[in-house]
Amino acid sequence: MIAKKIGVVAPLEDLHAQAVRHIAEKNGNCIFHFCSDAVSDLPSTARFGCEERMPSQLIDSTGTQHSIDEFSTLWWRRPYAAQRVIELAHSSRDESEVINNSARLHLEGLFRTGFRGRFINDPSAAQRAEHKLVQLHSAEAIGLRIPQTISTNDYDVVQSFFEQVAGDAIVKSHFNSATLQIKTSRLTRDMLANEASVRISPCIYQKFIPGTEHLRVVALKDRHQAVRFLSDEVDSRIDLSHRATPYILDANLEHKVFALLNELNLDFGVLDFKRDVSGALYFLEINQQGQFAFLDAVAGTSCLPMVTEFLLSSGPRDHAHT
Amino acid sequence: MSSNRGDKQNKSVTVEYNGTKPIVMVGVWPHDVKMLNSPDELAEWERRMEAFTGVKYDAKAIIQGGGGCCGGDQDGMCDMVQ
Repeated sequence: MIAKKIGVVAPLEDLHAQAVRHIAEKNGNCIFHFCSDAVSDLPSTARFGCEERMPSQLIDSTGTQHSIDEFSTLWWRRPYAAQRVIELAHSSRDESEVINNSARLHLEGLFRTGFRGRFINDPSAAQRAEHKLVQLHSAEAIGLRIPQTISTNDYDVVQSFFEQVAGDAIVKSHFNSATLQIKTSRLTRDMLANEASVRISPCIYQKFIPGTEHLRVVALKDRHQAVRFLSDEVDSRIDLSHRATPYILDANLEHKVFALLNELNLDFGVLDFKRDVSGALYFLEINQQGQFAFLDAVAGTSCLPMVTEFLLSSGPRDHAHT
Repeated sequence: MSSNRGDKQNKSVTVEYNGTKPIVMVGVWPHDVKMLNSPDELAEWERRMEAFTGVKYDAKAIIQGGGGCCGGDQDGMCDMVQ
């Protein structure tokens, strides 16, 4: 009989990883935490080409060693994290790059080659789903309404788009990182005066959606919870001043949410929508490991228990990973 | 550094890139995100999070740790921190 263990790969102080572990333990279950930012403290080994095949070994946050083949489910929450040791070592920029990339590639390689269970989410699917253009393309393909969008660094195209939407446009980045977060902003004629600034970096330009209602949907393969925010500003993750309430999706939207997860080959995702002044709902983006713990605090949902239960009840897929 | 634009009307236009900031780093949203500021607001959030998760968190540290991408409309919300 194969032992069924559940693991999460995330930084040591990851709020979501700690919260689901706490909920699991309260119910007599265990979720093991593999710290993606503490590789130097928690060594791990993968072996190849040996006479006797040995499963990869790794140590969890409590210092306990595990064989990777003992696990049936792995929450691939935040596998790529800056290593904590860099600050202790006062590493140079080049050294930091080596340390971080070595940790990332080792951990990912170890899990991709040794883990035979179910990733939440599959690493390849997760990487693909991080692309905003892929998200929009897939959302449109399954019938979700999306804002008029271009991704370009062609100055003429941007100018033409700006005029076409009568100046009601936003510009957003393809990427953010933990250290560099670039806010979406309204596009102005002044910003467009500098052609070089358009050409130097392709961006996403969208027609601005006027409205005050935002939906955040935390979706798993077979279950979801949603929260509605009412505000003419998008609240922060921990803004208690805006009205936030649990929201029931209609059957059509629910179906499309699951269809999008399926289209992107994801088991988990956090989707953002905005409703315009005419009532039309627009898909904005999906974060394949988006934040959701704060929703329980601000709106009284039970997303953390839902995700915990999903992890504990998930089994291996027919095709675990590629 | 500059380069020829290769204009569609066969007009040669030189684009100067020296010191250029990408357009996505130029703009600002017309209003700032409302963040929790007062000790009471932060304490209330921490209380709620502890009630829901069983874990004590430092709200100020979380704000300072990131989440700036949550600030603009049509941004979606941040997935990069914690």
